[in-house]
Amino acid sequence: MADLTANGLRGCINSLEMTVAPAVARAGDTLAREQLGLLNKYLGFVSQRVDLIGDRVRFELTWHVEMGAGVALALQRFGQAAPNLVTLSEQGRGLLARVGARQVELAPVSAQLRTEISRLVRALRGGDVELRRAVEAVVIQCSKPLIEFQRSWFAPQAWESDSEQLPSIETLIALRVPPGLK
Amino acid sequence: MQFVNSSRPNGRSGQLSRSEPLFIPASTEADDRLRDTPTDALIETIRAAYPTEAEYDDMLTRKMRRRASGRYRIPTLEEMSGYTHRFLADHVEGLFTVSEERWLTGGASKLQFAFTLHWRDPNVGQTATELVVRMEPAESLNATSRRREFQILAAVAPYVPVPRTYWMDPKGQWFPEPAIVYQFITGTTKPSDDRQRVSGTGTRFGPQLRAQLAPQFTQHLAAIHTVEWSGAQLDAFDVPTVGTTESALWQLNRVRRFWEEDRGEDFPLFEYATNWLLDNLPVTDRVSVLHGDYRSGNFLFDEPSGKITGWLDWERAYLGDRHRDLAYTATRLFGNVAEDGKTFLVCGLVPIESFYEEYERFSGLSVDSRKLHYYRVFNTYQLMASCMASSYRVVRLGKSHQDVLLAFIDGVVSSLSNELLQYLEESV
Repeated sequence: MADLTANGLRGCINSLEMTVAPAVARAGDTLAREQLGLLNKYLGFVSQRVDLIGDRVRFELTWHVEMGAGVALALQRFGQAAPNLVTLSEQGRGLLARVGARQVELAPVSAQLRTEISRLVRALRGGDVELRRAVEAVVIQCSKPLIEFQRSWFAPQAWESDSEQLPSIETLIALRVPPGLK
Repeated sequence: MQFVNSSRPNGRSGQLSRSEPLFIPASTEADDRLRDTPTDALIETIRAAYPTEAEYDDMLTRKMRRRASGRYRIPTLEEMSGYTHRFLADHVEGLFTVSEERWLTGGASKLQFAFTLHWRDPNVGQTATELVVRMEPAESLNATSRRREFQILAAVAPYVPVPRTYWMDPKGQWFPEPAIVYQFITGTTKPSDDRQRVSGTGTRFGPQLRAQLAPQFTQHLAAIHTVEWSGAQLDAFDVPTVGTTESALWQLNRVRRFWEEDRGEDFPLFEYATNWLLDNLPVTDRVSVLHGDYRSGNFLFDEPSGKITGWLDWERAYLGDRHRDLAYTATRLFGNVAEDGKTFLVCGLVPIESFYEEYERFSGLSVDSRKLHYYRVFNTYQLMASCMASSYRVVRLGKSHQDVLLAFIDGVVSSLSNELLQYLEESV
């Protein structure tokens, strides 16, 4: 039996629009009417993305591993070690290579990589300028694909005036995740 | 859970700590619980690391001390009516009645309750006054002060159209949370034919309304920045020293503080931006009144005449460097591109070059492009912190009447991150 969560969400939206919204309108509760509109928008967005959440988690781990490994390498060039970062990056690579790795395994490694890198970036201020620049350059470079992906992910919410010109999320998923790792 | 603090004790000089910075990780459920139920030690550690204005310090500390108190319950209309009646009984002399009680919708952070008060106004005699109670939820996108909002509205009233302030309940003695009572102003935030994205983002006014609104929009900002504030009752505000970086540092520390208090995840690019902002703090050449959220969506206008009827949402106002407002107003998220497909319109109203030229002409103050750049980075950074960190914590703990909206605005972080990245790359 297929997973029909997205279809179920569309059913929820229909119910809210056809049954609940008229009742709220009759009651004249303006706060409830406002919340209902937002709820419908949010559920509509989730119904477009729920089947792709696993792809997003994998994509993000791919680039957090790149960032972690890149930062560790930059530190190494300056004679400094980052054992936590190396371990987490290797753990992430292993998960990405493992067929059947679960979303709940991937996401925490992404989160820990973000934390370790953030801690390092914060601590480097006031230290060796060249080292700091090298680490920050990796952060900038690896942030780009992540941000590009997230902009496309949220494009249906139309935060940007040219949202419709962003690449589709399916295109980015297909492009960025190395073959064999999907 | 361990956290490291080696910053100096709370003080508000412009000096920065050079020792190991405070870093409280945000990657596990345990990290989340630490912030959900902060200990006194944690609250004090964060306070000490990020000194900011005294009133903001109070608001943020209050937020953290009350955080573990459970989910927010929105008062019913009847309950709000009861609070309002009790408040008025203690503040209005003589007999009064109240009618047309209702909730107002719109904003992302405050509850607003409107009503008509039939009373004897000491200034005008027997009258009917349309009023609004503007009240905090338990926690919101911005931990701000009603006392500051009340004071600044009174200070700028002679200069720009704003709601007249009547009373305040700064500590939530009559209402469940701190509140102010001010005049209801009529008008709209957007043209009736606008199918905009999200309130206040990219409003399309059309050429005719633009021609009517744009001069007022720029002129009002110039008027705010040249307000004679020194004689005003503004004791909820700290005054930064001209010729120092205090103004920028206090604001930066405020954001760093709530980032530390609220976030549910770490973000390396944000840390890079923090370092850049600390390295590039600008010196303030003049202390101005700042609106703090000066953009379309925060003014009301009369559509037939194209006249601005009132400026709202002063909760982020402060005394500081005007470039912060000037950069904020021109944030890409709030603007759009004109019909020619290339001219960026500040808040959908005025081409960016004309905006700064006209502002200089109206205010007699200069616009420094380097400071503008600093504050572009800062404003984007601040918006990201609110939308990524505070909104996450509020929704997770069920602290406001707008949890769905706050969940929704998580989506804007990617767009803001893109903007931040571009600004930082320009700096390099």
